[in-house]
Amino acid sequence: MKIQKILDIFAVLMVCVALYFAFIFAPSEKVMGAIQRIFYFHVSSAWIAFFAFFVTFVFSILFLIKQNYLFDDIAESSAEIGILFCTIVLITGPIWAKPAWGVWWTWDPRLTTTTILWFIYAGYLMLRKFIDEPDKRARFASAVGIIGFIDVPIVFFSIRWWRTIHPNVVQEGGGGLHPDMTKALLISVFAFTVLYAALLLKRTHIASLTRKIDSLEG
Amino acid sequence: MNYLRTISAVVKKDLLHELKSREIVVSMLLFSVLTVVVFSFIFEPGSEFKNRVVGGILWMSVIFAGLLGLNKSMMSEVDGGNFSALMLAPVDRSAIFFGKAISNFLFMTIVEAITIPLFMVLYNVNIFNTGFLPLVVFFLGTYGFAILGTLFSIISVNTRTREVMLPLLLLPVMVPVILASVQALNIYVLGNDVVESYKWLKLLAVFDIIFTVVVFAVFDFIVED
Amino acid sequence: MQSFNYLFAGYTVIFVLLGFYFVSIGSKVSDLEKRVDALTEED
Repeated sequence: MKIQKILDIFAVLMVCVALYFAFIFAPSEKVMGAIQRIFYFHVSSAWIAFFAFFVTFVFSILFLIKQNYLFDDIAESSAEIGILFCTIVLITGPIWAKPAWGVWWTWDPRLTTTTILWFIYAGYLMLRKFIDEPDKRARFASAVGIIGFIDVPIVFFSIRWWRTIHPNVVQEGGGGLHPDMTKALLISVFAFTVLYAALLLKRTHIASLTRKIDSLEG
Repeated sequence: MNYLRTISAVVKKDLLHELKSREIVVSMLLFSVLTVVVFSFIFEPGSEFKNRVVGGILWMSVIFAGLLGLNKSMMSEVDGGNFSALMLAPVDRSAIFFGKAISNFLFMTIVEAITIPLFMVLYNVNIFNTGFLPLVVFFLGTYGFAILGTLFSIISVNTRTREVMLPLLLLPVMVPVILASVQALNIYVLGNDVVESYKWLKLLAVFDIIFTVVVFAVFDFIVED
Repeated sequence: MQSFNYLFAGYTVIFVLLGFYFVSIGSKVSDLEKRVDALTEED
């Protein structure tokens, strides 16, 4: 209980610090201008989404081995938070793309993979809603959690090969970041990781409370 | 040895059942041919543009028919309590799974064997004009589809919504197979250098191997009762 | 200047989504805890 509160406060504080770094500390990008500042939270969200799905993958495997329902709760919670951050990536991506590249959407490998990722885990969460028996739900969801994550790199490479056949409309400029930009990015990644931990703790707590209520009500 | 015997017993059971009822293959076949016909309304008949998209149409009609067949095949298994009975049998459970996957694969192959020639006549294209590599594409793609499709159809028929879940779970995971098969088929239809298609064939093979191993490792755990 | 509007829209979306989720799971936790207490008292 106590740890949850402390983590909550720390997460909110860190996000404020990250905001300062993103808006004031980091220098303006010369070509793209102000909009480039969305980069810090956009990339951090993408990193957290990916990390959250990795956690789901790991705890799905652990559940199948140990049959401990806490692991299933963690897998579920992490997938839900992952979807949240994935949604943020998919919304901020086009908002950045429009002023920077002139189009809302491009079938860029990273953007497309993120979209597929969103669909895989939306399916995962829907599946969980549609199975009533807790042990069946946990086992089947674990299978999807494992297969879905293993699929991600294959999806990425297939899309990358596909996109190199056609001329690429835009190439994300991979050039070196200004050291202050790197600092701001690292801070916001750290802030989001703390936020992820706080959300995961709370969401897992909800999942285990729900499980407890179900067993109490019989 | 025992393992192989279990697989072949399950396949034999499914084939006999299908020979009697003919429900799965006939409905899949009608659906895939119908899809091919309906998709032809997209473009002007005889336009040159069609050659660049027909590969995708052929493969998508097979995929959608496959979704239909997977649901049908698993529903008939679950409705009579047949699947639970199979799971109680004192044999390796993954052998039962691979038996089911192989019979689904065979059903899809039969459907493809009839859809492809019909498609080539209706669209006036020859997908074999650079050799018989399209057969490899269909073999690898269908296998990958059958292996994950069978697993997800077991999961989906156990949900409250039954068959609704299958396409939602399967299609996003199938993206590499769809992409690779369509791109490879397009290369053959357009008569480009077949060497370009090798990387797609490799991708399909890698997908098949990885998920055969993963399903083999995971299946025993997820059906435990 | 227009670029700044997009930036503003982007961060608004981020904070609306995060804030909404943060508050909604926070209130759900306290609801569930009350229910667990009520149920355990009944026994």
